Amino acid sequence: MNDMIKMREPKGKKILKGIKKEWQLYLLLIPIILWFLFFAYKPMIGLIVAFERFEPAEGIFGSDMRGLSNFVNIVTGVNREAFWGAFRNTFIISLYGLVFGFPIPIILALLFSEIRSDGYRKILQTITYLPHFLSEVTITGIVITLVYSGVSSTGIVAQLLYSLNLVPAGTKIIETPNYFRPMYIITGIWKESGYNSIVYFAAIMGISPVMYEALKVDGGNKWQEIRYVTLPGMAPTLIIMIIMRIGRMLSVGYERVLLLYHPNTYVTADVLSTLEQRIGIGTGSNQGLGSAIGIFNSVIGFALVISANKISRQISKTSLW
Amino acid sequence: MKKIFLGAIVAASTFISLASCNNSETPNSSTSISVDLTTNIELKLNMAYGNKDQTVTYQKSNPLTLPDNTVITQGSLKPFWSYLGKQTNTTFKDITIQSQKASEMITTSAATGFTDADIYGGNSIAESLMSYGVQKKFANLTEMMNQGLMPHVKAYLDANPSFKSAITAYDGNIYHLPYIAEVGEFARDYHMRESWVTSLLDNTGGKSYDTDTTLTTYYKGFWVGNNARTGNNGGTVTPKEGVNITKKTNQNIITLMNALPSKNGQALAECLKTYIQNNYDYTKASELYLGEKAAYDIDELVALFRVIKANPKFLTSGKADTVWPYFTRQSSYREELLRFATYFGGVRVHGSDSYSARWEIDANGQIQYTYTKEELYNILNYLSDWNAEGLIFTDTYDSNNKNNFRNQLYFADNAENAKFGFMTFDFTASTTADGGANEPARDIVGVLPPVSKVNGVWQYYIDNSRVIKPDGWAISNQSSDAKKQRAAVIFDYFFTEEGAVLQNYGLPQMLKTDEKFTGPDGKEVPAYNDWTLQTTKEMANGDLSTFLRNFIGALMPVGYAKEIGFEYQYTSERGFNAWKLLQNSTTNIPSYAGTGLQGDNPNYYKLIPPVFSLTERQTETLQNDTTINSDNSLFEVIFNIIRYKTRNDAPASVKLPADYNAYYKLFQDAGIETYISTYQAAYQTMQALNK
Repeated sequence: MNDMIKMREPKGKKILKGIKKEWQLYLLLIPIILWFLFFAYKPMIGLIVAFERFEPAEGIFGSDMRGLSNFVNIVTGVNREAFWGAFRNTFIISLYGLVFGFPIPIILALLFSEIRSDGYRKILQTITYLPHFLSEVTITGIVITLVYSGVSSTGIVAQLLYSLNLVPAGTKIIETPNYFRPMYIITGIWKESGYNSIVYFAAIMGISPVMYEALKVDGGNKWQEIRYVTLPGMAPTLIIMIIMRIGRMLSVGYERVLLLYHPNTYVTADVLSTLEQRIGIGTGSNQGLGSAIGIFNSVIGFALVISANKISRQISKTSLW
Repeated sequence: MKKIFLGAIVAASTFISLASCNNSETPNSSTSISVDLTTNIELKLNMAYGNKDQTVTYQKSNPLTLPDNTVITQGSLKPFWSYLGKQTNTTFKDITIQSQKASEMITTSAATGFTDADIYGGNSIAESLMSYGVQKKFANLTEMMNQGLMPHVKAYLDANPSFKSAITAYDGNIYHLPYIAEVGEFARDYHMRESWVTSLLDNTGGKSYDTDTTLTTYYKGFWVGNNARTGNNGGTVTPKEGVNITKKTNQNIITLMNALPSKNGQALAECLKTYIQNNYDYTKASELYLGEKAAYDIDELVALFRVIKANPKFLTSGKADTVWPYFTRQSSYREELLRFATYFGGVRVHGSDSYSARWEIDANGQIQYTYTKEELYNILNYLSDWNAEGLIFTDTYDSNNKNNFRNQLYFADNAENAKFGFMTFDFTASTTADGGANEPARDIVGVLPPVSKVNGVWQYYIDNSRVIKPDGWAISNQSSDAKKQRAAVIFDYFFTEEGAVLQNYGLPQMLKTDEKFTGPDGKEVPAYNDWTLQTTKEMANGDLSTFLRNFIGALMPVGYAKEIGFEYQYTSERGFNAWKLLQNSTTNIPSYAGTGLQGDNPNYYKLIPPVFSLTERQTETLQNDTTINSDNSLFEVIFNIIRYKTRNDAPASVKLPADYNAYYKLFQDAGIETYISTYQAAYQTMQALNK
């Protein structure tokens, strides 16, 4: 028995041995660790600002501590209406993104996988990936031009919507609260669905052809191929992606909202990150309040990803960790 | 080693006297501290304007060759700053992030403790400069002046105590020098297309008015009923000393027009012409609006707008179906619309040139917030009526539209699908500029403002004048004493005659050596040579202001007193006439001294300070207990009322208060009462310091 205990190697030593053995891999890991340390963990020191009456000239450690007053202010103070409005919008916009934006790349990937001509498929893929590589400023600039309506010019999409009576003629789409969310979601789908389809397309390509052949032998048609082979084969990827998506629910495309919204559309467009920007670094800025909103955003995002991971593990046995 | 002392320079130089100052006394050199200028000192400048063309570094891709053959290329210091460096034996190093906004620059520099530069400057940052000054982040200029530094600045401020008080922080010290923009002069003015007024009103029947454009009217008039303009209530007005214009009846043109069975171009024009004939003794009907005898009130202006709106083909020879009676230069200038408030019985909206100066001073000497007044809410409703009638260019409200409407509606009559505007409120020199050789002759002229009961007295009043701007510069307290003293020399230099000429007119090689330019006010100013005028035409479309600022590096909004002389030299004849018209009229403007016809409020004509010096606690109160400064949707409501109220066609969910109480509640929810009491306390402190 004693001999057996002696034979067991201490854990630390075992790790060291592993590092020594696979040192090349650990060497490659160092830049990633450094990146996380400097760009993900070091900035967290700034979280202190949320508990301070932050004065830039005094710095993070020189400003007066205020405890939880910034949090109390955003939840119950003069900013409460804007905060809860932004909180609601963040969830709604994310939910819309999930419902309408999440399935499109999957459908695209399925369609790509059915194209037999490699050349044709590559052309289509390139066309759908292209908007991803344009900056948000360019994309939103195009969108604003397309839906703009004024004395000087009327965008082609605005003209189309007016002529189809989908929108009353002359309506300023960009300034109308009810049109913001559809505009935001459609812009997101246009920009990202092609690029997001890559991961699903890769998952489909990873499914063994034997499965499809077996289904064919059993007399399965195309729909049954998708239903019984493709989708179950993609399931782990889908679940991982949906968990990650839920984790980012409160981090809706901040730049796109900022570039597309208008003071008249705050009621449907303002999200936590844009409110954080306006209060934190806009006119009459209060960095403490802005940081408090940021922390609030992150804590809820963290809780959501933990919950989604747990639910997924229990239901599908697939999880991030 | 040869030593040069500023004190000696001050005493010896015959050319140094006070610039742009009411007091021509030369500062006493015996009190000046000696500053050694023999050693070259490097000063780092962080001066942000949110526009890379306006920093101290030359940013144009095309080089500029000066008369002395010096070539200025992209990335080098603008020649003004190189020249200044030579004059003061200083090397300037520009560390500005070229396109950064000044407010962002201040915040990021504050995080470094203002150690990254020696001089900080920018637009709309005076409040921050004051605030950080009190925190000892910027050099105490009052202390420096007491030590004998900056003698010319001291003399200037002593001669202009109202300017001094406007830039003094609550602790009694000055920490920044502001951009003082031709204080006391007219700033913006109303302009019209002259030929439109004369062709419509003096038309003797040669040309047919439009009959196919019919207006729907909403506006019911302001000078109506018991408020009718007649007799003691504006029956006789004096546009110019010795010239009295009398309105003969109590008729109101809006009432007359609203009663017309058909409101087409012809009917409206005939109605206005008949009205003018029945009420005034003008030789030509157009004189009601044009020239030195103009005596139109706000209702008569709306009547003219209606006639114009209903006669697009008549006015444009069939080129356009729609014309726009009123527009602002850009959507970002849409607050100019609110300046019409003056002509609805003298309601004040902006206590200074800035749109964010939403204060006025009441009869008790206390500041009051203007945007929450019921009178202003009523005026928004009047403007909404105008908008519903199509009298205001609709893109004016659209903050997404970044176009220059003045270029579109005034200066592009030959363009395909040309758009036409009639009236705007803007600076005279640029608005009345002559067009190019291939353009039709422009006919934009300056006009007197509408006449109105203002402060209880009928008069001509423009609630806008040149003021001390919230722009300026300050010296970092982290710099060495030698650098601070050198920076003080630079600050002081622009208040000497030589420095003022350099700032206001540019380099000596740009000026004629043997000739002066005589302005419309009779004053002689340095005259530009042919190189300057020709190069300005080639590189900046003839806009001297742009050339001086963006190419030469002068006229930047730093601490100096701006003069109007350079502007005279690129002004058209029509521009000069506009200035003469105003200067020879009885038109009054607000000022820091606040002089004007005595009426209800002795403080009516007073400008509010460019910035308020807030204590840390006051700043914290504003940040934590109000959203007035951070919630721009609140101010969008003002334009929502104008756009949608009368037509009742606001998109769903757009904030549109149903009445004044609902309007006020929006401000109340944003903490307006706390906001007002905080600023009132700050203003009282500033006033107490001046006693």
